[in-house]
Amino acid sequence: MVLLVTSDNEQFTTEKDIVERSVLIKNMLEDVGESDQPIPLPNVSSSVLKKVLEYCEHHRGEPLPTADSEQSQDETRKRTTDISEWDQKFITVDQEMLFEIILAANYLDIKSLLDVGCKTVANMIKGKTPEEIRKLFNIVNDFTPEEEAQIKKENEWAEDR
Amino acid sequence: MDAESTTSGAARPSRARKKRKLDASTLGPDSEEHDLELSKKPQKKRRKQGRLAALIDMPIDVLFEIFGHLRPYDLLKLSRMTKEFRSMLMHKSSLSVWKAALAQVPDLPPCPPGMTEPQWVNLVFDPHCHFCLTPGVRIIEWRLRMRICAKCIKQHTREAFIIKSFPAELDDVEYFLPEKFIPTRAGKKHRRGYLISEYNRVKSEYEALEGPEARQAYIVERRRIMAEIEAHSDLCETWAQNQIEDRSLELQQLRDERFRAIVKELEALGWGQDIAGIRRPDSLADHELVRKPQRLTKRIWNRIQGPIIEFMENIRVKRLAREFAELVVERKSSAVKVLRAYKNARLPVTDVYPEGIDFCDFGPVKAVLESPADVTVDESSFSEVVPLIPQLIDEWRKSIDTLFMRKLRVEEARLRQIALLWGVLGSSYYDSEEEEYIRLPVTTMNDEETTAKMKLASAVFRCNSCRQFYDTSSDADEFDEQFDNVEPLFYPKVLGHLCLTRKAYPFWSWDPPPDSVRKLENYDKMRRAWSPQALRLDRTLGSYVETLVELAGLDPHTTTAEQMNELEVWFACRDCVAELEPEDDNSPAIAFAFGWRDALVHHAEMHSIVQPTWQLLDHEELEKCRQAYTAAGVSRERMVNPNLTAFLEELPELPDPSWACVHCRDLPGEIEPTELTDVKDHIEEEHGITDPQLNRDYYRDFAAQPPFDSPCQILLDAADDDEESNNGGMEERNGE
Repeated sequence: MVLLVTSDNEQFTTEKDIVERSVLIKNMLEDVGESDQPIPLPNVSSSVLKKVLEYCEHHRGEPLPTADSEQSQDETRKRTTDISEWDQKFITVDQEMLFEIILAANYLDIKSLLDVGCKTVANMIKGKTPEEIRKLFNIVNDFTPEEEAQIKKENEWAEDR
Repeated sequence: MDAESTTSGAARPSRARKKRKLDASTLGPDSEEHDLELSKKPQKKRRKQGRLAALIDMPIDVLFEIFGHLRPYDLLKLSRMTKEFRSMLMHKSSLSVWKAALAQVPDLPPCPPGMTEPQWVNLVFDPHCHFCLTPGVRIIEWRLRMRICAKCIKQHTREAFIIKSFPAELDDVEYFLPEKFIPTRAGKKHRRGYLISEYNRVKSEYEALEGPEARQAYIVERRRIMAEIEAHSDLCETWAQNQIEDRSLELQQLRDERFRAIVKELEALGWGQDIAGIRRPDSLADHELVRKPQRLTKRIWNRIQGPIIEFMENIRVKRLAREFAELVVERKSSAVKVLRAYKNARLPVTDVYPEGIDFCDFGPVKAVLESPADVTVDESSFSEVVPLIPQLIDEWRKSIDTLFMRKLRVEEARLRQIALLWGVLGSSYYDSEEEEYIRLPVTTMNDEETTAKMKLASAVFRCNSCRQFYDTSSDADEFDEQFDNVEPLFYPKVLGHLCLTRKAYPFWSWDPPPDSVRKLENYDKMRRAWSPQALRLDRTLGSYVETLVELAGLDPHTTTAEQMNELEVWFACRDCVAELEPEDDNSPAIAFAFGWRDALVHHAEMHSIVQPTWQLLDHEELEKCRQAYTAAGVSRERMVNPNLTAFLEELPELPDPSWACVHCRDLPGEIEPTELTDVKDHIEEEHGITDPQLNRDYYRDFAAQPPFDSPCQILLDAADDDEESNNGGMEERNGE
């Protein structure tokens, strides 16, 4: 069993094979070896960790992606559409939580969860106009109409930027 | 689908806000509005740009991870969302993101040299005019690497119509040929159009060069660039075409999927039977709410099910109507049984009777047929109709006379117009003012005149259906009819002519096959309501009849066909004598003698090229001829020359296909009237009756003409010496 402590000081006890979905923790455990010491996760809140562990538990035992398991190009093409049903249900959370999960997955280095999160955000963006995207993410348009017209000409690829 | 996801997506932020508000609720009073206001403020402090969502605050590698899942056009739109996104995505470090996104577009040609990736994405995916930013410009000018709206094309391009080739060795820029050195687009009338700005740019670059070497090098370089553009544009055009095809396939798949989903929903609501019962031109798949290439979600279904169910209700009404119509057709076989019983009890046939299809249209019969669906209809249901049948048939008989009279008037008018147009017939027949008939399409004959006219022997009708392989566009032209199948029809027998109640089986029709009342199993036709549509009045045959009637010493203006049938006279054909030259002067001339109708057919079939020359023979004279023929001891063989043999073989015993089977009458298995021996064979084979009786098992069809007494045709010895008294006319001919 592994003991995890969240940013809001909540403790989670979980099985090793679950928590090892996180490459960060897996490496840590390998470095430290068997220990009763809790692992602090200062970047993850308890509510988010609860979700993350739910994900890890569901996917326990599945092979972890290795560096050399490069996806073929065809798989890459459709990778935005193929979120499994369980994952889809799992990731149906409010935006704030979605972003938190993505950040946590990034921090904990859980590639598959990061993928699910990013795909979900990408799917939200896909096919929308800039205006719709702004509305969706509560983003304010800071372009003046003249600037908007100008950027559509797309001739500012910044060589010197 | 975009619209759906947009609206559903738009609902999410509000949910998100609500959550945040609840989290922060410890900070303030629990009124929701108040919370909302409060919850915004701390966020404002936390986030860099007001309420800019967490997206932009993501670590750059996470953002790139997200971008990696986006399509090029989505990236382009993100780059136009805020200044921050723009500077991030327009930075050189984002090049890999653009490249990765472009690589995800199947088979898209690479970004061409001279364009940046965002420019390339902008060209390929963003449908706006690159001059005025008008949206919705679908056509990509691959060679110009622009999208230009119709208005801007006029303003910014010019047609290249200088045909001279550019003389490379000359400095003279006047000869600058645009299409060789700058990209062009296909314009109207195969002319190429080029961008004025591009022309000016290249021209000034060229002019700025000094020395022929520099200019020559420039020209070579331009040619290389042009070849590159050309090759790349070809790739792009192919790709775009494939995109269109793939897209239409994809759309069709979406439509099919939606259709299946809607069918499933409807079946769950109990419309399955009606879906199966949809008949063209109705189509659920073509319904405007069904054929959309958009997946059916619960929400969409809730929105569209109202109008679709309305459509299905309409379909159900049609289905029930169709099922009732089918029931009525089923019931018709009972009505036909009643009609058959009535008709077969009145043999021999003395007048024309309706067939099942007309009978079922009689008011009282129809009323029984259309009884409510739950009423059982069989023969007994018509018990109240049976006493009315004589009256009903009488009314029907009058109605077809009226139709026939109208047809006669129309035909009269048609023939008059043709006659006037061609000037074939003189005013002797049409003694009225000719001009008037040109203006009047239908003759002004009153009923009395029409009735008198239709009964005349000279009112010869022919059936267009029977002779449909012949050109009958001009009845006045005898030549058309030379080898025509001539069957002259006369009132009243014409009313029973088979074609008036038959029509070709419509193989090409979408309609279901004919029902039992219309169906005819033994030939490629089906029954129809009685109609004189196929009849044509034949003036040429009419004029032959007039000659015959006059020759018989009667008035063609009053003599009816029935009166002619009763005459015991024969007509010898002198045209045969003229055509069949005797072997030598001593041979007897040969003629044929016919009853009046066969004389008419004979002339139309054999000699229609000349005006008929007949000789009248009464019964007595005919007998004399035969005796003289025998007395002269002229053997039949001697007289028959090779031509005549053929002639005789062509005219064997006159056929008489006038016999019909009582047992099949008015049923789908009915056979056409045929020879007596054939109908007897049929009765034995089909109905197992070995000794068929007239007017019990078979009957003579009403349309059949009375047969002439034998002989219908005879060889007439018309030798110079012996037959002077009888054949004076033929002698003259023979001597010619």
